[in-house]
Amino acid sequence: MHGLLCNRKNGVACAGVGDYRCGMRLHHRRHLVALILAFAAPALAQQPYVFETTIAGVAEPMEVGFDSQGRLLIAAGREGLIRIEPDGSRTSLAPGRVDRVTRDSTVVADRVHHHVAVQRGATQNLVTGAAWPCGRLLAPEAAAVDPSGVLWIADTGNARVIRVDQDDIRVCGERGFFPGQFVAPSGIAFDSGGPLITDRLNHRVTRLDWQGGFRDIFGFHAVRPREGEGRIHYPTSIAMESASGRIAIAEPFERRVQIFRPRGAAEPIQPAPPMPSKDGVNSHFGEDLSVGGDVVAAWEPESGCVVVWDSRNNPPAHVATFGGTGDRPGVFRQPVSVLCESDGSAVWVLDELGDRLERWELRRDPKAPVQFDSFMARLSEGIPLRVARNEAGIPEVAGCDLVQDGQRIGVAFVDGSVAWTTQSLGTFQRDARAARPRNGSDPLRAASVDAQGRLLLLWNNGIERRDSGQALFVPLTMVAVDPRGAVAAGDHFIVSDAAKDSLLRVNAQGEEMSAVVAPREQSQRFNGLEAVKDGELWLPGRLAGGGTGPIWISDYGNHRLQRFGADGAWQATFTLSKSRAKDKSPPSLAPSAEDIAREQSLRQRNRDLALEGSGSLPLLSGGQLKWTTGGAIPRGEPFAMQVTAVDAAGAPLQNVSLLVDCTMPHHGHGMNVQPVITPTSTGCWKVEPMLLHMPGRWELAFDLAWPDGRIRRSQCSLEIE
Amino acid sequence: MIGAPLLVAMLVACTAGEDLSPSIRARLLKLGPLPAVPQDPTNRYSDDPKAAEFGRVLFYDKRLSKNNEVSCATCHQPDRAFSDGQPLAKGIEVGTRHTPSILNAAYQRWLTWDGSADSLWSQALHPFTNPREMGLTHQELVGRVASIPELRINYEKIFGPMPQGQDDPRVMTACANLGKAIAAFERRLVTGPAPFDRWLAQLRTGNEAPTDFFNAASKRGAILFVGKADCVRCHAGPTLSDGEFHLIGVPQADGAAPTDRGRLQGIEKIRKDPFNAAGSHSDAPEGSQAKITRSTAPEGTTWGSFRTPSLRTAAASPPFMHLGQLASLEAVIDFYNTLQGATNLDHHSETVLQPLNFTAQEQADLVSFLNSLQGSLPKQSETGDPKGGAPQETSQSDKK
Repeated sequence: MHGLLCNRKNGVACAGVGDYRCGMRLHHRRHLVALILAFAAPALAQQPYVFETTIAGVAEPMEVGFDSQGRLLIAAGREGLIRIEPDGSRTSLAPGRVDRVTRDSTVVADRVHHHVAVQRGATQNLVTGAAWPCGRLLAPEAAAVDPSGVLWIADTGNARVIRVDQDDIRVCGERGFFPGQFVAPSGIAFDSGGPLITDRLNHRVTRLDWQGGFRDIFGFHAVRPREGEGRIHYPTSIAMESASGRIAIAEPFERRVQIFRPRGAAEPIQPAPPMPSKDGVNSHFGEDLSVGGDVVAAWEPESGCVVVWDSRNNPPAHVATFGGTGDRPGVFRQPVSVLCESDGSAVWVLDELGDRLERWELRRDPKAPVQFDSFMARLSEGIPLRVARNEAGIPEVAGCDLVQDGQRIGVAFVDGSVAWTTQSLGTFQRDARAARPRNGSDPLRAASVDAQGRLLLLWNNGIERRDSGQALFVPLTMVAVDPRGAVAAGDHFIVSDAAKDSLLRVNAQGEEMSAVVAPREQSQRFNGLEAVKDGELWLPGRLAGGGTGPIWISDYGNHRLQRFGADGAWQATFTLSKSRAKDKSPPSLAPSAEDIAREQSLRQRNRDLALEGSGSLPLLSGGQLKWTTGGAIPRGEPFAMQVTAVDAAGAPLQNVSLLVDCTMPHHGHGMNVQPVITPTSTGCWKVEPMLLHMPGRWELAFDLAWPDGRIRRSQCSLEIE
Repeated sequence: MIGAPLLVAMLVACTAGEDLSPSIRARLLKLGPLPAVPQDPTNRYSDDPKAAEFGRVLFYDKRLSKNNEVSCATCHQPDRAFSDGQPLAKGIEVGTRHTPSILNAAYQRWLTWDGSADSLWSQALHPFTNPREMGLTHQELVGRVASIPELRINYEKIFGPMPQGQDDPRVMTACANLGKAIAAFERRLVTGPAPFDRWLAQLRTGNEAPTDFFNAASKRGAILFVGKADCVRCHAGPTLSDGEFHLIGVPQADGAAPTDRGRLQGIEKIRKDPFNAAGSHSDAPEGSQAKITRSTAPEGTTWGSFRTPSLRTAAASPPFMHLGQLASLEAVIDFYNTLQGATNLDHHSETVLQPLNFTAQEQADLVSFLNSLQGSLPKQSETGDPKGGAPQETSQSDKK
């Protein structure tokens, strides 16, 4: 119920503007009784609702609601406000862009400014959570008041729901994939038992009770794009029709709204759709990708992981995954951009919600076969994004995209400003090139650098090219409705359009030259099965490559990446597991005796290090970090560690703090304890307890944090027997 | 820099041929025998014979339950390897998890499937206050012991005077003492050498040949266990358990989404448990276990993870997994062989756990090896019901 109006008529929550009503109206007693009956199913039954129908082919269902006659209302973005009539026909209620069903909501979540605005009479209060013990709100996407006056907030960036009443602030759920957990709560409605929370990145609805306790989950995760019949994919807004108890769920990713009705008390539970099995669901990818050398990188919104492919194979082979969700260095809240350095030796990650920019080295052995390697990526250093902004003198705006120009790495912000740093994360400098005066406040969508080092900034209506002189502007309004990615290719541009699922060549005048992927015919416009064919797109995102080489694209709506040749011909479709190519390269060679010997030698070195229980690591800043455990590191037994750090002159490092972590990247977990790190003197710490509970390869990481916010990591491997 | 093909290549190289490779031999020798039962500094009575004998009495006494029909031994039955043979435990009501065997529990850092106890004695108190198990409050438990003369006398001989009434602040101390007595008894519940241990002893002398008690199938299974199957990754050390928590995605019997939060719930519980190793009733509140308990923290993989069970009593304590949803060792191996139905709500398609894809012969070999891990059970005279298992009379006061 993102942004729905909730007033307090008759002591209950309802929503509407004029004749429109959305959310629940419980002020008719018979409705309440009907709802109670409808939800009398056992607490953990997983089918409280039954799929009823799909409203397909809605390009941008931003928010849903019901009017007083039970008709579905859809704020359909570019298509305006739509009403779905009982016979299924559509009535346009308001032309032009409409993102909300209602306009005068008393409770509005503002994800950009990290607060919820609560209107009481003429007074507006901003709820930020700044004084809450559980920490402040982060990018909340929905808020609503329940019938008893309790405020519920989908605290999306923190992956939780907050229940606020006069006496108590209660946190419901935590980050995770399992029932009762959230990744991106995104919408709120109410049934008779409590709130219904859509979770955009868990692809389901979680039902809580009025106290915030977990009731059940509803709606199975779609395993593949274009699945229906109860599968849910990237749900956002949710609304309930009070008379019938039907709920509407908006799925912009699928360009549809699904309607579910309460399962009757006597209605048998249908066999559940199969759970995502050992193969997991198809990995999703964000709208960004990057190519450097023979490395391709993208990221997964759900897991917060960055994924790396090696393009020496065709189709490119998935060779590394790193990151994950969390708040410490090395994991992310929500990456928005990745960048491969031009020689493929490192990947940069811009984590806007986590307020962090990190550089990860890729340790690839060119002699080894192209194969998955859990240990390939190592964090080398990072910096809070706010520090980068401050150094460059850029106001507090969100990061948007990463670019590279020679040896410089740039962070492009949503207002079009760019901060440049070096590959060793030196001081950030603001890009001084003249910017084109902006009309409106639409945020930057993507950035890139062309072969001449000119900066290309993609806006909703065109491409701004900044050079040493006056900026050039290439309008795109003639060729694209919703441009998401742009790169230069010689004297023209390649532009993706998420509204038309197209990829076009555009000249400097903003005219279409030719289509790499043409828009589908209107009759096939929303045909998802057509869209999953190789060379077709669904909600295409950003681009990489261009110039005189191939074009790489994030085919966001199809959960995959694609590569097209410079001639525009499809070359490859790739994911983590189901990849195809026009000209396949032979599979990787089996490991040779030399590979096995090299691996065994490495294991022996790591084993010796664990047995010795001490080591020395170089610091990126110069100097050394030494650690010792006073003996062999045991498996499954707690131990303590002494750590000292000195500068290049051998003096103890001052004004730095230490974080220590030890993980098993190929298992996807770390220690089950969080050691206490106690400074014992300048540049010296005691770390206790450490406990490595499994045999195998562990990665021991030391993060030193400097007062300027920069973090530099030193890391070694331990083989535990 | 290791990748899956390279790892397989290395392990296959280790398993080829009839003689044990040095690495396989070294891995096998780490699996036994069981050492002496580790000390428990949190329980000063852990090796007190009187406390152990008193704990044995408490363990079998049904009067210490709300309905006078449930004792620890109701679920932890001596003739079923101190488990109950049922998928789900049944005390006063049917519980939510399978009863694990408590044989060799004294070797574990964490107790129960979710590790919500960090010592034998703190775990021993959980069932008394669980409404589905024995259904008492701490005050009622102490009150019942105080009201039964034989128990009261034994208690006071070991621990001193019992609290005077339920409001006495010493009630919680008395509770802890009861748990410590039961723990002292449970330290006797240790298995003797298994056929595998005897073969390991032979292996240490340089003779790796199968024997009549550890046949060729068991040996092949052992090699698979530490080699290609890599079971030893979690089932490590002499207990054949790393003692920690893992999410393996074993499906529920009804195929529904999992709802048990496992270790995540365990961490929440142990932090609140007044009887944890870092608490005021512990005899080592600054000891090693206390530090670990204080530092225990959930991470992304904690939800739905459960403690790796020891395999030393597996053959005698079916069914398996935290819901008892797999009836036999064969079914367990079959699950790992195919991962059929494994639930994965995460978005990574790569995982450490991959289908073994073993042949029927290899699966049978693994089962044969698991059967060879079953050691002799502890003596009935030291661990059985001190009253000989006869029905216990209910006191008049309890009947009221």
